Formats: sequence, C-alpha cells, structure tokens
Amino acid sequence: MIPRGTCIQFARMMALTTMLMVASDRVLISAADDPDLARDLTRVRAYEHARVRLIEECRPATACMFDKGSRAGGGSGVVIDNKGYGLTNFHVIAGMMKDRVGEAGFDDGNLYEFDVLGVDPTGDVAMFRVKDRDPQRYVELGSSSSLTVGDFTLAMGNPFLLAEDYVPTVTFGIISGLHRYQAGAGEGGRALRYTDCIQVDTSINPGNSGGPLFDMSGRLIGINGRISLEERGRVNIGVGYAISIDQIRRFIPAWRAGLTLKHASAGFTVRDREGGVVVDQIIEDGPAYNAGLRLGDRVDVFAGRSIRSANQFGSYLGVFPENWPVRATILRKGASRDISFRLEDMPLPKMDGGADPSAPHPVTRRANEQAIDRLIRLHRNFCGDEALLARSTGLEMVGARHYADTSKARDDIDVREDRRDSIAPPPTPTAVELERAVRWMLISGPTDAWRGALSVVSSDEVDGRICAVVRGTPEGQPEFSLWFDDMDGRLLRLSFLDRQTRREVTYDYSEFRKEDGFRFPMVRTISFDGAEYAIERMTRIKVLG
Amino acid sequence: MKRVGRFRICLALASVMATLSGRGAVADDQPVRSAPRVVAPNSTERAFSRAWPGVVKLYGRGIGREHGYGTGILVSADGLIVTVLSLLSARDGARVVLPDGQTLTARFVRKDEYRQLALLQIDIEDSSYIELADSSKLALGDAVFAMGNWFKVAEGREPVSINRGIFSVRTKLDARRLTQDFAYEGDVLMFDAMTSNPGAPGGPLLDIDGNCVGIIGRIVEASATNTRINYAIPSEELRAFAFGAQATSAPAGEAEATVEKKEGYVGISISRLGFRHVAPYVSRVRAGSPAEKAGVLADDLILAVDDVTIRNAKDYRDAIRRLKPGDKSRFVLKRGARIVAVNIDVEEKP
Repeated sequence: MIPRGTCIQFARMMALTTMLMVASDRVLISAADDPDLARDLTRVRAYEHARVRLIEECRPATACMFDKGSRAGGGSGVVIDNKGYGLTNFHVIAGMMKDRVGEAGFDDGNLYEFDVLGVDPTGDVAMFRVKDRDPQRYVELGSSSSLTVGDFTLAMGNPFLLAEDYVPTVTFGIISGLHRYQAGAGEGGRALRYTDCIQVDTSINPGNSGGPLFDMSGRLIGINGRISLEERGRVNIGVGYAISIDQIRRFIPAWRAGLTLKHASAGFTVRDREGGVVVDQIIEDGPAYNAGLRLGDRVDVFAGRSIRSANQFGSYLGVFPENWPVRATILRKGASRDISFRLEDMPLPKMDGGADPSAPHPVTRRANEQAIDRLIRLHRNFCGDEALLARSTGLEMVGARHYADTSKARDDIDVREDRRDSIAPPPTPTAVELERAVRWMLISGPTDAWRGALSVVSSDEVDGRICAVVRGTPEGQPEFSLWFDDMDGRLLRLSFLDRQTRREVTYDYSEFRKEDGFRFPMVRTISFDGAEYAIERMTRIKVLG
Repeated sequence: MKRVGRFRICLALASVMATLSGRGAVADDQPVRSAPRVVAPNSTERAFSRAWPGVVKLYGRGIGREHGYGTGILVSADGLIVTVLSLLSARDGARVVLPDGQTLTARFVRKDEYRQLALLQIDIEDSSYIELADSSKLALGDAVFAMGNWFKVAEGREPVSINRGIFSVRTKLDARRLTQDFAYEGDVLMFDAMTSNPGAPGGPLLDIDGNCVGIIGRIVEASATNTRINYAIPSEELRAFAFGAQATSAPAGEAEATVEKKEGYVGISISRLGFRHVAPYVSRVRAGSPAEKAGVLADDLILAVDDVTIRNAKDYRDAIRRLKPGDKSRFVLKRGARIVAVNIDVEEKP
C-alpha cells in the first residue's frame, strides 16, 4: 500500500498535466518559479513515461481478429503465453466455428493464422492459438478479485477497425463498478451472459470485443465485450463491461485442450429473506442435497463470498464451470455448518447455424494432444532439471504413515523406488504399484503408447489451485485421472478404481519441497471412496543415480 | 461528511491478494516477464468511499424517455434528498434505495422548475449525508468524478457507478431537452466524464477529494450541435434550492448571493406548439394583469421588448427575466396588419 496522501498527489498531478496541456506556456514559466510545481511536474512525467512504457509492453500481445481471408468485421484478442494461446470473445469467433481457423493481426504489421480451441458460448469467451509467430509476445494474467473501484485500467483492441496496420488502439479509464450483471440473450438468457463482471469508463467500442483490459501493472484483468447502449447508436457512452479474469481462469485448462465447458447451475435456487437468502427449491439427490443442504436453509457464504441477495448469488454463480467444487456456509435454526459439494451444469445455449461447439473436430483433437504435451513438459520442468530427471534411476523415501483411524499405530516408511521396475507394473497392479507407475511415467517422459492414452477432459480446482484434469486409458491397465496445476504443472491428485477392492483410490499430493534438485511432494493423503484413509509424511527424499 | 462504518469495510476489501498459482516456481516454459511496476494511484476510491453513503438510487414513474429510475443525493441527516426534476421526482411515492439496501418511500417536498431540481424527504433519523461543497474552488483541468446509477446497473446494496473526467469549463448552456428549451440560465460545470445517460441525472459531481461540487443535470442536447452535454448544476445552486437563504452552513457572502430575486410579472402566455422556435404569439392575457391593463390582446405577435428584438419564445422569456417589479416596459406588437406599441407597468409576481 502506498500512503493515501501519495495517491491524491498522483491524481492531482494527473489533473495538473491536463491543465498544462491546455495552457502550457504560462504554467510552465511559473513551474520554473515554483519548486513544488516543478517537482510535481517531474513526477507526473515519470508516471506518464511509465504508462507509455507499459503500453509498449502490452501492445505486442494484443491481436486484431479477423475471419480468414476477410478484413471486414472482426474484433480483438490477447495472447496469454509464449505458446501463442490467447483469449477473445465467443461472439468474435462464432462465425469461424465450422473450420475453426481465423487470422490475427499484430503490431508488427503481420497477419498470423490461428486455431479456435475451446469456446464458451454462455460466458462469451473463446480460446485461440496463434500459429507460426516467433517470438509469441504475451501478457500475464492478473487477478480480478484484488481490484478496487477507481483503479486505473487500459483497454486495447481494434475499435471501428481503425488499425489498418494492426497496431491496436489504447484507451485509459477507471473501474466504475465491480460485480455487475448483464443479462444474456437467447433461450433462458444462456448466451453471452456477463456475470460478476467489471464495469469501466475506459472507452470500448465495436471492434474492441475480445480485447484485453489491463491493470496498471500490465496484467490482464478482463476481456472487454459489452457496452451499455441507448439511443445514440453503437458507440461508447462511458459504460463498458469486461469478463473477469478470475472467471476465465477456471475455464482455461479445458479450453486449451479444445474442450467446451458448460457453466454451472447450483442444483438449488434461493430467495431473498431478511438481508440474506434461503433455499426455496432444491434437486433431491443432487450434490448440494447430498451434502446436507435442505429447503429453508440460509446460504450465508458461497464459494468464499458472503451472499446478501438472490441476484447477487445468481450473478456470482455464473463465474463457475459445471461440476466445480465449492464450499458453502449454511445456517439452520441458528446453527452454522460448512458443506462442500460440486455444482451441476446448465445447458449450452442453442447455436445459430447449429455448429455444436463440443462436436469432435480435427483442430480440437490436435489441441488436446498439444495440451497434454504442454502439461507433461510443465510437470517435468516442475519436478526438476531435465538432465537430472534423465540421470536418476530411482528414489529413496523415508517417513511415516499416519492412519485416519487413530486406533491404528503409525507405520514407518522406508522405501526404495527403482525407475525401471516402477515404470513397468504387472498387468494387474496393486494401488501402490499403479500410483508409482504413473508417477514415474510422467517423470521419465511417457512413451508413445502412454502418451496416446492421455487426454485432457476438464478443468477443476484442488487446494485453491486451478487444474487441468487428464484421463489416462492405457491398454491393459486400469483407467486413472490426473490433476495438474495448469500454471506450473505440479501433480496435485491421482485417482483410479482399484480392481481388487473395487474402491476409488485418491492420492492428494502437497507440501512440495526441492531436495537434490528434485521437487517432490512431502505429503501424500490417501483416500478410499472420498474418505481419508491415511497421510504419508516423508522426512527425507534421496534421488538415486 | 458523516460516514457509516460498514460501507468502509466493503471498500477495504481492496487489499492486495496473492494470485493463486505459484508463478515463482515455474520453470523455463513460463518465463516471468518483467513488467514495469506502476502503483496505480487511487484517489477515486477515496472520493467514492466518502460520497457513497450519501448517494441513493431512485425508482418510480417513467414513460418513454422519462426513465423510471435515477439517482439522488442525501443532503441532511433528517433525510432530505436532492435530485433532478422528473416524472419520478415531482410527486410523492418515489422509491428510495439507500446504500445499505434499505428501501423507503419518499415524500415530495418542493420543486424548482427553473433549476430543474426536486427536493424529496424520507423518514430517517441520523442518516449519512453529503455536505455540499464550494464549486468555485474547481480549477480548469481538475479531476472530477461523477457518481450515479446509470442504466440501473446496480441494485439493492450494490454500489452505484463512478466515472472519471476533468473539469472542462464553467459556462452557460444553450441547450434543449427533447423539443423544449432548457430554461436554466445559471452557470453549469462541464466535464468530459460521460453522464448524459439514463439514471445518471441527480447523482453528485465530486472533486478529487470527494467533495460534492454539483449535481448531474437532466439529459439535454446542445442547441447548436444536437449532441448531448455532460454537465452539472453547481453545488451553490443546490444549496440555495435545498436550504434557501436561511442556509446556515453557507458562508455569509454566498447566502446573500442566493437570496431569491423578485421576479417581474406582466401576465402574458406565449403560444407553444411543442416545437423549438415558435413565433412569439400571445396565446392568453391573464385577467387583471399588467398586460391586460396596457391593452395587450391574444394573438398579438411580440416584436420587441424594450428595443430588444424578440424572435422566439426563448427570447421573450429572456426579456421577461430581465424585468423587475416597478419597471415600465415598452412592448412592440404586430396586431393584424398594424404595428402597436404599449407600455406595461411591471408588477410583482402574484
């Protein structure tokens, strides 16, 4: 935090600059006489210089999006990593769904082809991947939960298709409101709904759709997509809306793999009562019901946010993908309890022209393979240096296993895992053998057979981290699912059906520590059918070889 | 400015939150780009948090371009609300949503057709309110903030919107509202924040410290260009309207300036067809009025008042506004084919 006084100083200086531009000569002369004014002026210029530099940093990541072979119409987009993955509005690429290709112009003046990967017709976002651009200039993702009304923002894009040379237009403004709701279109308002979105006075206009909204650190905080209109035609009148990056983050792992995720529904509805909300309808045997939620319960906190009205709940619910895990605090007869459950899904809106975004397509199939390659590469980078991984022949682990059933005494762990033995388990492996095999398969870099058996199936959240969920269906081996942190590739969870016990076995990995250049989870929590069975805590890991 | 604690708690959520993923731990596939770290100054947040507890959402009657929602400013602890004059505010029963989400029904207190303002009151004790500041301290280029519930995008306890701009000029408007002239002739504050939107009128204009320097005016269009104007009626006018000359909070010099000037009265109505530049025909002469005593007749066309040419209804209104009780005013009229001159003894408005 910077001191309040400084904030005001800065804004005063901003205003001052405008004044200086209006009446430059006279004021400049008095600035020479007035040391305070001269000092303020220097600081204003420093701030402006920093802003200009920031714009230069962000601009190469901003794309002008077009249909392939056409310069008519179009929108904007932004690249978010060095592999060319980018974000735009669904309504910008909706016309490209048949071939799933388009062209993006960047500030180097060139057009590059892109693939349309996963899309979100409900939330109006889509992911694309720019091909054959080197280097891929990109921006980092920020966080929309740390925003404050009044924060300065920058928007970039191609309003009114002004950028003949694809150098995007930049506009500057403030956040006018947070947690806004803008109703959707189509049946049930399920298309292009803006929920819990960001309202800005930063000028966004037709053509800005899909373009980035940046904070003043140059981090992406939203995708611009809508404006309020009145009688004056399709131009900005000081009221624009951006989809929050926190919503988008939850979908990204699935979109990279070309998947289309539905948005969530709660499995219950709520009604306003006495400054809060109570459950007025619930699906029996739905996940919320099974977690203990009942008619008449007050929903006090939902997914970390205190709920004060049914509208607020509805808007906030819109930021979650289907099947997303949430926690809620409910009140019944004065007693409070926490429940956790998974959300249900909401049908996709009907598409004009009938292109089903989830239908198989060569582009999305390739995207899924590339997403797997990316995750494995990230995972191996996370685990350790490439040479070290190649050299290691095994691991030694020392620790203890503590049982959830406290009447059972703890067991000591002193295990030696051999890479070659681990990686080739017997045809009907035990749970321990399968877990070990999958782990070593990932570290070693999977063979083509293993590799072909993996595909991204969804996004999820484990321990507050947004994950890509990967399913493995290796020939002659049990199916398993893997949860990778989508940003750094760490393996957070492994789950499979144990053939012998017919139970779902889950390993949750935590407390990662680097030893001998090798990063490893020091804690493994083992559950059967969702119930915790034991925690294994390692005290020492040694890499062999 | 009085503040309520809980509002500030909400705004305090602004504190910096770490991002979810451990980006620092990422290896070479995700190189950390070194962006210049500019700390965003947020004086808006401060202005917003000062003014927010005194800004209310209004709902009520509307038709066509008279939108059934708007914004108002609480100006006293006993629930006086200033807003712009509209279908919604010119009667009892407007629904007032306070910043904490509480909904109350307002009583209509009075209106001011000239300034196009309305005063409402809600039954509330010890309410938060906005103290009206001094708009004369605004300098050209100063940052200003406009607050209001445009497009009724906020509801219940959700905070209203805020837009940023700079103070452009203090001037008089030549504007109209739909097809009618906008009568207000005092100074207005113009700025480059967008406020000519439904629901915005009635919201406060704030200076950089969050002091209320004006109220966002009704949506009007410039006569010359037909474009909408973003403007506010200065806080002094607001104070004069809400508290009259008795206003104790106003400095002595200002209180004097706001003493209501006695208006001259001649008793002529000008024909109106609802269009802008109507020829200034007399439609009606009030019985017993100075105009009747001087012999003005219905259907006379007014050509000049005190040697100033009258081309339209607006010119006429301007001329009348210059008259004081006791003046002797010379009207030149066209009656049929004849030109007639009459002297009218201006009286005090009954």
